Amino acid sequence: MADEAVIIELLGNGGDPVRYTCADAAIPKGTLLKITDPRTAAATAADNDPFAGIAAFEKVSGDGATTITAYTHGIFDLTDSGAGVTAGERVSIKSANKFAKVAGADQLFADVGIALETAGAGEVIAVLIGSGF
Amino acid sequence: MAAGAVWQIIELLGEPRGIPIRYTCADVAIPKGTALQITDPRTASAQTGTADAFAGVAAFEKAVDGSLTITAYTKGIFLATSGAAVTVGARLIPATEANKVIIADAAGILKSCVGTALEATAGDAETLAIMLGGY
Repeated sequence: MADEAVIIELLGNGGDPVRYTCADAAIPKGTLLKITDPRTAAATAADNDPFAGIAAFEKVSGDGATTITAYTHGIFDLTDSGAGVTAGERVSIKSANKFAKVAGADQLFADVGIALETAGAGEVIAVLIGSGF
Repeated sequence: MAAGAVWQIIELLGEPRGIPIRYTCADVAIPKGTALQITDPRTASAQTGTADAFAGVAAFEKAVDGSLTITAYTKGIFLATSGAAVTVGARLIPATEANKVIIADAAGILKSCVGTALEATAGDAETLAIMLGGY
């Protein structure tokens, strides 16, 4: 995996961590997670994956653990998927660990957050997640 | 129509209270309670138009004092002013005038919204309680 999120600032109560069930698979720290049924987190992989949070710790494959903690509130360095985004725009999942500007249909899924900087194609920028704006 | 009054705190939510975020800003006067917009890179300034993307509410007065940062509250309930009729529960975006809010349209909702209306208003220049950062 690549392009994991990097913490700039955790907001709320230490990033407002949420515990999810997960498969006993490898999930690097900083992975953007998607929510699946029932209350289960997995690594994002495709356009419009509904965002669940950012992996707070590394999950090692085969260690027997089937839960993972996700940060849900903070400012993180995230990677643009290629089309760029303007500061202030809402962003959603585009591919594994990458975001794109929210389009109309994307509003039906959980957003990642709000771009705090303007990004060129593939650029890493600060994104505010979990503000609720 | 005139700009709205600066927003008043009704209740700060979250911990620390109001979930304050620090932004870069220009060395200009920004009154406490001003609705702020986000510009690149991670820079806040007073909201001036309806296409602005919301950044938070100025937590303190910023004088022309050489400082280049400002703190914004991002979670709480505030008393704001509407620029048009607002329905309770509607998502809100900045209005054309500073410090006013209107119901989000299809384009506005793709940007960072101000928050959710906790009260209805009948038209311009009415005050209402809004929730920032709730959901």
